[in-house]
Amino acid sequence: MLKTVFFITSIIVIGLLGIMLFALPTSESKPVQISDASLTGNSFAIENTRIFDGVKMHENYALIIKDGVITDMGEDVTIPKNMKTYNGADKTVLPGLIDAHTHTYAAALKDSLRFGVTTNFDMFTDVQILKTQKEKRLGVSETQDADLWSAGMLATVQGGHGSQFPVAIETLTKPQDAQAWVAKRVAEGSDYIKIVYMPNNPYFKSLDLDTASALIKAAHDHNVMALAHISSLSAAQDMLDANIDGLVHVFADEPVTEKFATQAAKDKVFIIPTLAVLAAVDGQKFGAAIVENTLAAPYLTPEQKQGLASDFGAGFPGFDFNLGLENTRKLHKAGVIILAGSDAPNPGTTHGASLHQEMALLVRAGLTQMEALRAATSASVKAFGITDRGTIKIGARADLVILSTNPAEHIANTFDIDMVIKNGYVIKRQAQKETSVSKTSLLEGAILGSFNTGITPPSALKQQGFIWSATDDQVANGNSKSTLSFTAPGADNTGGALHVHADVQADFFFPWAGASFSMPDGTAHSIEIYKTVNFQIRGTPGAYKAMFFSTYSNGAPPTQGFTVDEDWKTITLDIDTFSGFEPKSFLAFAITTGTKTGIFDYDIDNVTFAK
Amino acid sequence: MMKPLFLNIYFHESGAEILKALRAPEYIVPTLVLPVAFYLFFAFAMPGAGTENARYLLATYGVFAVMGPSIFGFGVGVANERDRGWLKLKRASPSPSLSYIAAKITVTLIFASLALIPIYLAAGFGAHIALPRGQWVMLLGIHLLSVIPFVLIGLTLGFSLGSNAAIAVSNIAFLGMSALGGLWIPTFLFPPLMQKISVSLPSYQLAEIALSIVGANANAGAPRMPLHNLTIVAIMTAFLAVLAYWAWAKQRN
Amino acid sequence: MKANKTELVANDFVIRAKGVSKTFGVHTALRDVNLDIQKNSVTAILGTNGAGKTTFIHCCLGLTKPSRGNLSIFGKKPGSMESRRRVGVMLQDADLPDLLTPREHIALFASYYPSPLPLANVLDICNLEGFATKKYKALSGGQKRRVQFALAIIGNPDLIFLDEPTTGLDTEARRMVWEVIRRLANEGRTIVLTTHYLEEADALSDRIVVLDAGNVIANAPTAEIQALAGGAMIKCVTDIPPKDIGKMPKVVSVRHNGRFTEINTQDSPSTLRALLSEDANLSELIVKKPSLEEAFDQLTHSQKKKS
Repeated sequence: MLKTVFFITSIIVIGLLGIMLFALPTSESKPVQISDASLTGNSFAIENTRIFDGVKMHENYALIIKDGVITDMGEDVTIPKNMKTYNGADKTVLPGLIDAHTHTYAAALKDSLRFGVTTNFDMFTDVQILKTQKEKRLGVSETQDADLWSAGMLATVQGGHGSQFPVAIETLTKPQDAQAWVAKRVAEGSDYIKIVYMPNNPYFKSLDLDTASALIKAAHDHNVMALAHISSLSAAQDMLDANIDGLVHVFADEPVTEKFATQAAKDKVFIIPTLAVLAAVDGQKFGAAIVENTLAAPYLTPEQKQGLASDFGAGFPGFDFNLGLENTRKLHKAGVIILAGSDAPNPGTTHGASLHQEMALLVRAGLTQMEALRAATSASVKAFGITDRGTIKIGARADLVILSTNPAEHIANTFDIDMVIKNGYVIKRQAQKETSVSKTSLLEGAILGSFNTGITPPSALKQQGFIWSATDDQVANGNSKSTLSFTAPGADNTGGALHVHADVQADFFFPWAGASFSMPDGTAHSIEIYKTVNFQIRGTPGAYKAMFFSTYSNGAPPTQGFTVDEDWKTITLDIDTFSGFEPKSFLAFAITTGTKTGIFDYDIDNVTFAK
Repeated sequence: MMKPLFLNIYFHESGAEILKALRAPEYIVPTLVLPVAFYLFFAFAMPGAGTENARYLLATYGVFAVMGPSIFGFGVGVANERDRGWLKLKRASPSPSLSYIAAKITVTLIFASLALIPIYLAAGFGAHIALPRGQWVMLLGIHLLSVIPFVLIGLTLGFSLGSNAAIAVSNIAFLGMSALGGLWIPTFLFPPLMQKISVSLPSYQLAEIALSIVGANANAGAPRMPLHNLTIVAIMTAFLAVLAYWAWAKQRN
Repeated sequence: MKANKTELVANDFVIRAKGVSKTFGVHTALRDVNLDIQKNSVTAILGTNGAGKTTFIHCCLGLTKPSRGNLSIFGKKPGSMESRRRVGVMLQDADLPDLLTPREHIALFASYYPSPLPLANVLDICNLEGFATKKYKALSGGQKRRVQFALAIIGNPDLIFLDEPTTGLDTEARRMVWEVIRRLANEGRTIVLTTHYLEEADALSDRIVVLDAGNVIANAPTAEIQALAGGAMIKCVTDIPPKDIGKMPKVVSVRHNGRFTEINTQDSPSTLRALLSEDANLSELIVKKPSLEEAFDQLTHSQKKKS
C-alpha cells in the first residue's frame, strides 16, 4: 500500500518531468528558421547566411557575436562548441540602419529600433534627452531604444525656423555671439552644431550669413561638425562657401548648378536629402503608403500611423518634390555624399519606417539599391566619424537587421524584417495594438453650441465637462490673443451667438486665434458616427480655418479653410477631409482665424455634428 | 532468517513520507504555489519584465523552489518527529536510519520537481525561453541537486532544535538565503558588504551555476565561472554534511 | 509459564546485565544493576517514577549507553541491527506521526522485520479494526496506545519490551493487552514490561524485579510477591518460637524485631487462629496490610536470607 503510493507518485513525477523536458521550447529544435523567441543572450553565431557588411554583399558567411560585439566573420569561421548557432540560409544580415536626420520626441527611439534603425542622428531636440542618451550609446546592455547622436539645441534667430516649437531655445543674432553659443552647446554634449540658414524665406526670419559663417568657424574651432538646414540653392551655396560639413536637406527651389555639385563633391560635403519629408511638404501622400504596407503596418503604433497620414496642409512654394529628386540625382552623379535621413516625426513621416521609404526614394533619385543601403549604413557613420557601428566587421557592436529577403534585389525588401538585434540582443518586435484608446464614448448629442442663453455648450455636453474656450498661439509662444463673449441675437435673429474677438500677431509660423470646443481634462470621445461638422458664421471678412484635435496629434492639427463674410453663412465640412484626424479619439474642435494678422471679430452659431 | 531488503523499507518509508506530505496542505500549498506565483509576478507582471528578466529568474527561482521543501521538510519535519519521540521509537526498531533520510530526500525531490515544473513551463511557454535540450536537462539537474546542501542545513536544524525553534530558524534561513543569495534581486545591486555575505551562501553559488546554464548575462561584465561555483558548492556540501552528522550524533546522547 | 528451578545455561538468558550503571551528570539513574532475564519469561519491572525502569529499557534497546557495566541482548550489543530485528518495543512517551493511519503505521513497521505477523492478524488481535483507517491524530489516547502496542508485536519479535503498556487504557483495553501478552508468552516469547500496578505484574509476570532509585531491591518469582501482596503482617509479643510459627497455616516468613515478632502471612485470620490457640498470653497484637515498600523490603529481606 505504501509502496504503491511511492511507485505511483514517482512514476507520475518522473513522467511529468520527462514530458516537460520533451515539450519545453528548445533552441536546437528549429535550426533552420531563426526566430526571435529562440535567440537569447547577447552571444551567438549565425552561419550560412548572406551578409551586407555596409559596403558589399557576402554569401555563405558566418558571424560570431560575443557579449554584444562581433568577434569573427567570414566564410571559414570556426564556431566555438556550445555556442548557440543559427542557420541563416535565405536571410540577409545588414548592419543596424542609421537615420541621419531625426528629431527625438516621445517614442522616437523605440519606434526606430522596432524598424531596424539602431542609431539616430538627431538634428534638434530637447537637451535633456541628449544628456540621458549619450552615455547609453557606449554600452552593450539590453535596450529597447535606438542609440542617439544629437545636435541638441539648434542655432536660429527669434522667429526663425526651429523657434516655433514649444521647446525653450537660446537664439543668437550677431557673429560675435557664435563662439560662446557653440561652446555652450559642446558643453551640453551636442555631437555637432546645426545651423538654420534660410535667408529671404517668406515665413521665417533667419540668421544672417556672417553669423552663420561665424558659427561654422566656431564649430570647427571646437572640433565638431557644422551642419546646415537650408531650403534654397542660394542658401546652400552660401553655406558651401562658408565651409559647412553637411546639409541636412536638399533644396528644391531651383535646379542644382554644376558649380555647386562640383564644389560639394570636392569638399566632401554630405547632403541628407530627406526626400520623404520633402514629398510630404509637396503634398505627396507617401506616408500613407507605409500604413498600407503589410510588412510595416502591424508594427506601427497608432501615433505613427497618424503621423504618416498627416500632411503640412497646403503645398509651399520652393518645395518641389520632383525638383528635389532631380537635384539629388545630379548631386549623386557628381559624386556628392548622399546620406539617408527621414526628418521624422514631421507630418507624413515617422521614426524607423520612414527611413526605409527614404532608401526607396533615394533609389528613385538614381542611387543603386546597394548605394541606398550604404547611405543608411556605412556612408553615414563614415561622414559622422563613428566606427563601432554602421558596418559589419570584427569589433563592431552587434547592431543588426536580419531580412527575410534580399534588399539588393529590391530596396523595399528592407521592410521584410525577420528580426532586429541591438547590442547582440534580439528586440521584441511585437505587433502594435490598433488603438490604445479603449474607453472612448460616443460624443452625446450632435449640437455643440446653439448659444441661445450663453456660450456654454448644451446641458448634456456641459455635464460631461465640455466647454467653449479661447484658443490662440500663445500656447506655442506666439502672441495672438482671443477672447470670447456672448452676443444676441444670433443667426436668423434667434437666441444668441458666440462672439470671438481675435488679435492675430505675426510672431508665430502658423498664427491663430479663435474658439475651441473641448474637455479641459483631455478625455477622448468617439465621433465616428458623424460625417460632417456644420456651423453658421459671420464677421471680419477673410480666410478662416477649422481644426480638429485627436489623441494622436503629431505636428500641426488637421485643418480645413473657409472664407467668412459680414453676413451669416452656413459652413459644412466633411470630417473625413481633415486628414490625420482620428475620429475615435476626438479631443477638440476649433474655429479660428487664418494665417493673416490683424483684428478679427466674428460670431459663431449653431455648431453641430451631422450624420 | 531472511533479511528485509533495504530497498523495500525505503519504498515503504517513501510512501509514508509522501502520504504525510500530501495530507499537510499547509506544507504543500506554499511549497508548490509560492515559487511559481513569485516567478509569474516578477517575470511577467512587474514593469521592466522581459525575456532577460524571465531567464534570470528561471535560474534563481528554480533554486528558490527547491529550498522550501528542503529546509522546511527537514528542519521543521525532523524537529517535530524528534520532539514527539517518533525518532526514538524508530531507532529502537530495525529501521535503518538511512532509509528514513533517503525517503525524506525522495519526497523533497518529488515536491521540488512539482514546484519546478510550473516555473519551467511558464518560462518556456510564457516567456518563450528556449534552451538546447541538454541545457534544460542540466538546469533541472542542478536545481534538483540543490536539494542536497539545503537538506543538510535542514537536518542540522532538525536535529539540534525543538520544533518551535526549528520553525523560526528555518524561516530565517530560508528567507535569508533567498534574499541574500540573489534569488530575488541580482546581488550586484547589493551594497559591497552584503555581496560578500552572498558569496558565502550555497543559494548564491547554486544560482550562479543555474544562471550560467541558462546563459543569463554576467553581472558587470565579469564572466560566470560555473565550475568554480560547483567546487565551492561541493566544499560547502561536505562541510554541511559533517555539521549534520555532528548534530545527529549529539542528539542521540 | 512459571520459572523453573533447574540449572540455567548462559544461552537461556535473553538479557544479561552485569554491573550496569547509568549516570546523567550528577544524577544516578541505574546503580550497579545485575539482572539476567530468562528466555520465555515474563518479567515485570516495578518501581516508582524515577526508579530507573525506563532507563534500563532504553539501555537494553541501545537508545542510551550504560556508563559502566556490560549489557547484552541475545548475546549481542544492545541497539545492534541483529538484536533490533528480534525485538519489539512499546515506549512510554513516543508519539507517532499524526497524518498516517494505524494501518499505514503498522504496514510501515512490518516492512522493517524479516518475518512480520500478518497485518490483518495484528489489527484483529489488537482490536484496531474500528479505527484502522482514521488518521492517528484523530484517535483517543487509549486508541493511540493500542496502535503503539501493535507496532511492538507486528515484527513477530522474540523479545518484547513494554514500557507502561496499559497506562491510559480503559479496563476493557487493558484486558485485551493482557490477553495478548499472555498469548505471546505462551508462544514462547520473552516479555519485559514495566508497570506501576502490582496487580498487572501479578497477572502477567512470572518474575518481578523491583527498582528503587536505580537499585534493584528485589528480584523474585512472582509467587513470593503475590504472597506478600495478598497477605498481611501480624505484629505481636509472643513466646512461641519462630520455628513453630513458621509451621502455622499460611505463614510466609517470621522474624524478631526487638521484643516483637513479625509474621508475614498470606491469610491473616487462619494464622491468627493458630497463634491464639497456641499462646493465650499473646499481647500487643497488630494486624496490618503491608505497604508495597514493606512488601518489597520484606521481599529483599527474604532474598538475603535465602542467599
